[in-house]
Amino acid sequence: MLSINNLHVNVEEKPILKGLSLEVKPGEVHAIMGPNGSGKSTTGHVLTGREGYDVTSGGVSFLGKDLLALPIEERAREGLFLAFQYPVEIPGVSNMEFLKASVDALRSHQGLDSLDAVTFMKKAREACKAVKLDQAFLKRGVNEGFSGGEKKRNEIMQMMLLQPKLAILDETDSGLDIDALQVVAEGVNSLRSDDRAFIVITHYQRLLNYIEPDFVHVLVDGKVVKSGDRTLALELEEKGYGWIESEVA
Amino acid sequence: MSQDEIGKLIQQDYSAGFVTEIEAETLPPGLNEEVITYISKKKNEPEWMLQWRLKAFAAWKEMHEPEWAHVKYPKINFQDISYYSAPKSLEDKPKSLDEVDPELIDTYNKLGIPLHEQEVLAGVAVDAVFDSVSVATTFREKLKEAGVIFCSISEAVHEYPELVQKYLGSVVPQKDNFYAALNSAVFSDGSFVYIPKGVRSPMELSTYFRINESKTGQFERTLIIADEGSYVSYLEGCTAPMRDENQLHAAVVELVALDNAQIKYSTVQNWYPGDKEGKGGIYNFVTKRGVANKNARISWTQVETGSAVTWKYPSCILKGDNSVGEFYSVALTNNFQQADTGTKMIHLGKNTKSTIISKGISAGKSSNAYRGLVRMNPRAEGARNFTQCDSLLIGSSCGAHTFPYIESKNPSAIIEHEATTSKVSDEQLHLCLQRGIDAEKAVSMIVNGFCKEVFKELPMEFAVEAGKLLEVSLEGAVG
Amino acid sequence: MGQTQNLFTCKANSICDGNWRLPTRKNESWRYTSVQLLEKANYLAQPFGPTRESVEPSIYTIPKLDAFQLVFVDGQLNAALSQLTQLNNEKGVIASLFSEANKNLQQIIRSAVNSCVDLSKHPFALLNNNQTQEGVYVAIEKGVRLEKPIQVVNLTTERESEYGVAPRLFVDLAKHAEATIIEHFLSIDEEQNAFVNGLTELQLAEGSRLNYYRLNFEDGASRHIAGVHANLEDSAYLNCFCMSLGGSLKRFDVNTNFNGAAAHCELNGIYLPRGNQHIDFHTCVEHAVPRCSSEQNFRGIVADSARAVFNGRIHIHEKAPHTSAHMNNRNLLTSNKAEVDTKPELEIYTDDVQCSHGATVAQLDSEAIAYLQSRGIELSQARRMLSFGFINQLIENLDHQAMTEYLRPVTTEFFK
Repeated sequence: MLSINNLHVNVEEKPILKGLSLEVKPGEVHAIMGPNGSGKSTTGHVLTGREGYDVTSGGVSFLGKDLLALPIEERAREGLFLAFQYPVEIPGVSNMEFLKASVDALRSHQGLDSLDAVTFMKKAREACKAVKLDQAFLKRGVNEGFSGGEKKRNEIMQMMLLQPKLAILDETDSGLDIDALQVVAEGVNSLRSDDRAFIVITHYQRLLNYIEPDFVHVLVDGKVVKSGDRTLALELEEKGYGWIESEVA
Repeated sequence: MSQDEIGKLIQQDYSAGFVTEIEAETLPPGLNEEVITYISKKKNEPEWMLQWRLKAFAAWKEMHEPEWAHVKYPKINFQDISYYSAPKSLEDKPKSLDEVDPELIDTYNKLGIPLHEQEVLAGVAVDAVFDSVSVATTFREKLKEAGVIFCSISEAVHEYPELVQKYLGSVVPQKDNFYAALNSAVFSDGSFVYIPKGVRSPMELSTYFRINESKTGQFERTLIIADEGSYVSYLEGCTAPMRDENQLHAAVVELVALDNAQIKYSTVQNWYPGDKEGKGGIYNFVTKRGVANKNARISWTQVETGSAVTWKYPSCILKGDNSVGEFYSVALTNNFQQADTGTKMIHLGKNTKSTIISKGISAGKSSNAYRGLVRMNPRAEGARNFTQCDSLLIGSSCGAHTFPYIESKNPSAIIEHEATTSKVSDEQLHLCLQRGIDAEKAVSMIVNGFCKEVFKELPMEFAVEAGKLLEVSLEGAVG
Repeated sequence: MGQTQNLFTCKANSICDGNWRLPTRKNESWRYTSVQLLEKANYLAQPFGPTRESVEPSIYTIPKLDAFQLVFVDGQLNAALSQLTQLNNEKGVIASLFSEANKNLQQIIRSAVNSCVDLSKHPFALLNNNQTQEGVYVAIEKGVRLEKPIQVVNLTTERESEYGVAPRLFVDLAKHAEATIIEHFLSIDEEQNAFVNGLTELQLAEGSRLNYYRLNFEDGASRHIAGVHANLEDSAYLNCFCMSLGGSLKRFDVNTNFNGAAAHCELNGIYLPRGNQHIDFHTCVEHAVPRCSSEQNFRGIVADSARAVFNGRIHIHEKAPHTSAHMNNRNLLTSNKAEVDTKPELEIYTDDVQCSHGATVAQLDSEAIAYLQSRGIELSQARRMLSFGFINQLIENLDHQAMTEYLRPVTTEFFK
């Protein structure tokens, strides 16, 4: 589904990713872990097409297409979803209006008609319910005045509504209490299926207690230095990143 | 997408820019006593009206163009403008719509303002003003049943002279300012509304202004009187053809809200803004003011997307105790447009309240200024004002300015003023794009969200139109 | 004296031509402050006769503040009360009167004066150039941090006839220099017939830091119109605090020009006019370059028949992305005859900015008063406490504890 091949990325002329490679197949859940500044969030941003990330070499193919050649919105329409680490506020634009525009854009890409208002609302309410977000949030401005936890749940709610093929969760666990963490994890787990994949970017293994990954990759200095299964995450938790860094060095 | 590219997305052609080919009677350019006498004669006005005009003209000759606004344009030669133009077919006043030149009806149809009653938006009566004259006023009979008078001001001078004499110039005196004096001397038409005591107007009233002839100015005059305890909601819309020259529009609107009355006045201003290089467009120099008596309420709502230069401050004189003034404004400028707009809230009575919500959006190389005055007079015990002035900038070459004047002479009065400036941020756009929404839609959503507080004050039909208008005006602002 | 004027000869031509006129209220920046009364006053007259020599230092001394004091009486330095020589002897410091500058320094002063001020926009700055008899030049050399504050005291007395004084101060901080300057204005006689027209220029080179305090406490019929103009180069930092009490007319223009990127300024001020007093603050921050930030907080309490004017302007040029500029002005009116006119302006020519301003005019919060009363506090005392608190928020956060401790009782006393 997703194939990252020896990817090099600069941010403000400074190399951040230095040869990242990763294969993600449908149905898999990959966790990317690593110390601060190792390039975790950069990976998410460069995959979605955010500005300011210069790919100097390497490539990414997504469902057989050259992902890096597609504009941001096309990537989204192809089924790529990023749950942001810091979801931005858009004052005055209601969540509902925003989501309807998004859902319609994705459907139109698939050659489907826009959803009628009633059906859309039904789906939106279900998604809210699934992440225990009050329906009143649909009427509020996008992330406007939401608490940190509410913003994160709002991201997962959107994911459930948009049903992406590949979802990237960028440190969705940061700043969440255990209850909110469980809600997020339940949302993700309910979407797990044979044709959908996840990349979970996290600093701590805590989230992985709830979302069981098939693979764990450790990113250090812009490269995957170690891959393994769940046990690798537990080992990291116990020994800290220093262990890997010294092992690699 | 970079911020710079955003600017490129706001480009679309002005859809109301067509010219109606119609035979018109147009005065040659120039302004003197003879021209004023001609206009007055043409309208068969009584002597008092002519004298009123001449007095205004005498005052105007002594006055100077205001220069304090944050706008720049070449000096206007007032002798180069024609002060009267009317379609020939309206020479003999058509008795009904069936007698009106189909070209004219068609013009309004194209603008989305059908004049045939069976086709119009339910519940909205329209007075259509074409260049210097009123074409038709719909639903007059139905309104008459309720006692509501809605007609062109020319007719009102003949049919309701006592009301016109009593109130014309009572809110905006002839000598109020340069453009008001000019308007007082040469105004050719406009709307007149009277709502009798205790009556709630059964429908929305609206005037649609259209400038068609080249080299003409439009000087309309609107007078709305809401008698004690009455209510009226009034809307105005304006468009003009695309021409390379600048045309002058200098209107005066006077609102009188007697005790316990309420007037809601909404404007969607879409005069031709000029082209992408800043050529042509309307100079929109307008004086709008209302007096609110005891417990009365006056609300101004405006969506300003057109005109090359806008100079306009719809104001409220809160004369009566407990009266309320409101100003809700969205002003969007793009390309080389310039706007200097805002309001004045003059608190004279006790416990008077005012609210000002102003949303300015600047794109391209345009300049957008809010200018407002809040004055608490010594007698205004317990008066309150709240002002929120927000600017949204799109692109790095535009200007957004805020000039609020706050004057208080009463310790029990409370004034709160807040202003913020923001831009459509990269993060906001990125979030929308990542959810598959294209950039144009995203910007228009963000801008509409920014204006939401004002749009909710507009009557339903207008709110939709206003939203669309913003989309059109912003087209090309993002790339 | 003649020498001081020589420093300005070419700069004040338009006054010499006789073109200078008092600004009228038609001039937008004098809209709310009339200076026409000056027309009748003999405000240009030089002080005539001998200058008082014995002055009690306790009048102007700020307790607990160890400072170099430069004391002027009616525009003339009182050398006995001043430590100009000590200041000049300090390592990395040059301090001199304009009139005593040697040839070399004269050259420096000549090119420095008026470099921070736009004379075309400030008629009284122009007038100062024409009238000034004396000035102080202080330069701090590269990387030098002057621990001890410099307190420039300007005292005015009652004289036989009306007179004008035009004090002048130029502070020149080299790269990474640091200093604290206090300009302190006081009247020492109850009756006043002085017109003070001050001009202060602050030149802050790259990375330099200046704490500038301006205390205008002249009382009686005194009139004071002055300008403080600062140029900030890269990463410079200016912390400016102004407090103004008393006198019949006070008008201050505080202008900050950002000439170098990533500089920061704080402009804070307090005005407390009462009786028939009139106090006007005009601030202007010119954001002409990228990444600078400015914060302004001005508060006033206007009593009796007094009038306060605040006009704060933030001007962000097209070439100033990543600017952050915030301004807040809060006013309390405590009488039916008092008036406040405030105009917080924004003029913005680029989109990548964070800007806001807020202004309020109100009276003391009636709920807060009621709350204090419910605890047994008398109404008048509750008012005093709340008024003090409103002002004290700005005084408490001063960089110098000694200044806070000096100003707190001044404020308490004021509300008694």
